[in-house]
Amino acid sequence: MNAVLEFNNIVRAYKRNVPVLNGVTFSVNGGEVVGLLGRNGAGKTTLIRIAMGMLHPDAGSVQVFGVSPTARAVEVKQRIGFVAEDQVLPGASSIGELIAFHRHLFPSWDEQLQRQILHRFSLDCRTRIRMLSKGQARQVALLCAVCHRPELLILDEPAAGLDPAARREFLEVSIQLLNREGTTILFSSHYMNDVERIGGRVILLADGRVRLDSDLDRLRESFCVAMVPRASAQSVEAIRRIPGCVGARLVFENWHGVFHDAPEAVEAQLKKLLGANGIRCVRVPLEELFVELVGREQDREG
Amino acid sequence: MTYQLMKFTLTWKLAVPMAVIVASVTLLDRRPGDPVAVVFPLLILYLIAGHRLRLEEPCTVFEASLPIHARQIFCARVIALLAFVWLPVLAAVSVNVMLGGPSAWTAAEVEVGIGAVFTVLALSRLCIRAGTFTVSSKHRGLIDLNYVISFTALMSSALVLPHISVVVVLGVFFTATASLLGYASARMPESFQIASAEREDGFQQEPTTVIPQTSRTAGILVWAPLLRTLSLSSYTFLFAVVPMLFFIGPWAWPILTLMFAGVFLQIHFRSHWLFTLPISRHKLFATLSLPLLGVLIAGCALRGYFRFSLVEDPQLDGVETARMVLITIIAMAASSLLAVLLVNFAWWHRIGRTLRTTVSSICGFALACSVLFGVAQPSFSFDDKLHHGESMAGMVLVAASRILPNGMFALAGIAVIFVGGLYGLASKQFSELEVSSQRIAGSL
Repeated sequence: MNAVLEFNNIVRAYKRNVPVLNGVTFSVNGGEVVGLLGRNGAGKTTLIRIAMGMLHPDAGSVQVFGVSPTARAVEVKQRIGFVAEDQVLPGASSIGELIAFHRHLFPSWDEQLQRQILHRFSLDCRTRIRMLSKGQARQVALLCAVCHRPELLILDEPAAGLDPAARREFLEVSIQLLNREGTTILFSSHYMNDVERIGGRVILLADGRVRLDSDLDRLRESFCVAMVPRASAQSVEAIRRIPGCVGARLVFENWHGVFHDAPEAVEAQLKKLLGANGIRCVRVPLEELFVELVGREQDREG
Repeated sequence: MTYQLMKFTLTWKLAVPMAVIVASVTLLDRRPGDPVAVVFPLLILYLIAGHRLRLEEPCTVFEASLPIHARQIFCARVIALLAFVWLPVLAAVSVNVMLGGPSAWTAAEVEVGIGAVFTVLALSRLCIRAGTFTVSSKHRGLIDLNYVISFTALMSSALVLPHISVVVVLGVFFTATASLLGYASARMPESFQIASAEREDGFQQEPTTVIPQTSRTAGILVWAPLLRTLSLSSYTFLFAVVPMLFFIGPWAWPILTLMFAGVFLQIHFRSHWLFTLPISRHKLFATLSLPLLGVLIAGCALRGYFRFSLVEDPQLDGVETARMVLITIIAMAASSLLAVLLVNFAWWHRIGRTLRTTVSSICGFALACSVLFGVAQPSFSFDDKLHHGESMAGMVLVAASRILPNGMFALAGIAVIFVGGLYGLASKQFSELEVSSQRIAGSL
């Protein structure tokens, strides 16, 4: 399948010698739904802005629909829908004016979908943007992003700050509606529930690199967290050196390690290698897995 | 506590730097015989303040959340505003009085008068909606109207004040200030409230999904969101400043260049939301810069016409006048585009990020030096007939007129090539700018 979006060894820093992205490489195929995860400052927004051609990478290359988003910006953006958490719409304009503006910019504008979304969100076309609540403004941004039936929808933490009901409604519209038609979706989010609901592929950014790239179903089945008593291993490196370990950290009196295997197999392996009692291996929800992979050490003594 | 609150305000933070700038400009451009020229730095300062400093907002959300009485916050705002207005006035008066001269006291009186007029105008803005810390859309119109009135009043005052006794001016000032503060004090609640965005008559319209006919119309109305982004108030500001050139010498050229760059930068930030849309950056640059250049060129043409044909040198014939006007326009347009090129270095990826801060600092320094160099009046004069008492900017213009060809067509050709080349460079640079690392779109 052709790659719609390709990041190749992307490096980007805002301060000298402090790269936010340090060799990020992955591609997204047509029709895929990809959730971009990572802690605050992990580089999710930077990566998305690079994909939108609004930031230039220091090294590496990005291709959207096989072309550079900076060299052929207009052509690329006509095929993309974009919603960002901090996206500000022109407050003095009415919803109707903004829609008319977008309809003018995108020849493939779907009026029926526009009416459907306006009705669903109960938006009044005469209302000025600055009179809208945060959630309503996000709904207008979504409307503008999806009504031209984009081939690629990029959402940068689109549901942040919305209440659970509004968040679910937003995601239902943006993701389910478009993905049914084979639209490729790249979205970043802090809400693991949203990621789990949407499904697809999960990419975790940590330390400027892709730490994890896996299908959600595979992630749930083939990863587990092992809790090993602190006395069983000298250091975190001893845990990390164990085959299959993806990440490890100290949480109070236990080492927590994320392993790429079934819990039973990992438990047997750890007992054999460390020879200790009290080792527990469990499958955990995505949120727990995320915390284990990117969370900091919690040492009661230090 | 009041002092702690004052320290949060931008007007307080800017008061001393602005006083230093006003004192420096007053020192550099000493024409005590011309009262309008004397108060020019103050007029510009107050116009920028009225345009940019949100003087109508008496409190931030942060301050409103603190366990402090609204009256105390308001009091801090008023004191900070008075400091912002009167410290530059005191600085300008001190410089004029220290340097002496036959009309030093007249100039000082006009400066005090201008300060008094602006204080009343700014206070009226602060007191329009005492007790609310945001401005509702209904009052936004009043605020904009206040800005236009402020501009007109300040300009008129500069012309009228030399003929009015300072005692009368101060008497009116104290009465008006006391009335405004009394009005605000009487309406001040226990704590600030957010202005209601709802219609006060309680009438609610049914939501409609039908786009209003005006929005659907093809043509320029479709571009309404983009045109609103350009910020009409920025144009008003530039329109407001250009006529002032009638009153001052050619040293307005570098100052106007700096203002052009500032206004462009402001509009540029507001346009960041458009970077996500399929709009060519070259077209966007044209949309952002050409109307501004148009305003500037129209102002310069008018000013040049009056300066060269009516005011200063009535002996110049028609062709020579037109030639000098064209040279002035070339200089203004080229330097404005160059200033845009310089201020955009901070977001230009091509320069490389490690160099970006250094180059941006050098560009900022160069721009500031050009302004100071341009407004300075050197004691020497290399042409007694034309340049006596002229600023460096004026000398450059006259020197350029000697080098450039006499034929109007040749001059116009040079103008097109020179200004067009700079425009092309600035447009190319704009097409390669990155969004700010902090946010995708400026506050609109």
